[in-house]
Amino acid sequence: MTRHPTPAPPSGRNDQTQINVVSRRDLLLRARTGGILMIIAPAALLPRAIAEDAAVDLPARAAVTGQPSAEATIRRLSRGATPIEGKMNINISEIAENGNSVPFTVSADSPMTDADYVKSIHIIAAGNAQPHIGSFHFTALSGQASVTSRLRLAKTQDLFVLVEHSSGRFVLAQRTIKVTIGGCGGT
Amino acid sequence: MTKPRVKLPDTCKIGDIIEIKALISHPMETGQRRDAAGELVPRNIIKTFQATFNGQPVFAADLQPGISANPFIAFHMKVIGPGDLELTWTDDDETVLTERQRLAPT
Repeated sequence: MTRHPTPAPPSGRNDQTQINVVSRRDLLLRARTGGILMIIAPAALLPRAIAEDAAVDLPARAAVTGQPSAEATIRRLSRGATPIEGKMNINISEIAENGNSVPFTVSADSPMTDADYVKSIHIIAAGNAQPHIGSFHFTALSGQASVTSRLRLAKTQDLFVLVEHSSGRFVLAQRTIKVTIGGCGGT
Repeated sequence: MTKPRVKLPDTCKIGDIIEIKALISHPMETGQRRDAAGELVPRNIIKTFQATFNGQPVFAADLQPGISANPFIAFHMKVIGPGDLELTWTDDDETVLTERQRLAPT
């Protein structure tokens, strides 16, 4: 992370504490011009003014980090279609002790013929810095729309599974997972 | 990216739906983690995984940093006859690793 020194405004508190005060405007500008990962630094490392500002203005976080929200991710993956509720099997523990590696199995019922099969299963974690976990694609030769893998969860959060059928139908389901120790290199 | 390990059932018959398990060593660096010096570790993940049988696509995955290190992926395949199962992993460095397994249904 490169943080360019910015002249501190002549306010008493900042003169004494000797921290570079970066205005929110600067921060946003810099974020947009490539220094986006600044936001991921623990809030404690940032000058207090920014930390407070960020706390007030949290919805802007997605815009600052350049990462879409879970909703936007689902909208993108479903290409604007409105997902419906339907049958699928999600096998994941409700309480994950280690967020670095949470095993999951997702499967969807489908005849898996050339005419009617599950095209893709998308996994979205609403509380991760990058919500899209992965997309798994099937063909009639898969025989069964089922995938097992291991994912990272930064904190306790909602997990969404979006199933895309060859008919263009999208099915969405949600699970809440409690995470004891977060993953995603949070330390 | 090293040591792909692929597990197929010991025996299978034509018409069976078998499970294929694939594991590979890879750090799956998210690009958000900092090293001891406080520098960001550049992102390096396996982006895609593909499985084909006799050249026909069976399964594919687009992976994001939310997938754990040393990705394990299990999926299914319908056995249509003897042939070669080919699994391919591609990472951010465009390193490609391919593992081929012969399937001989009884």
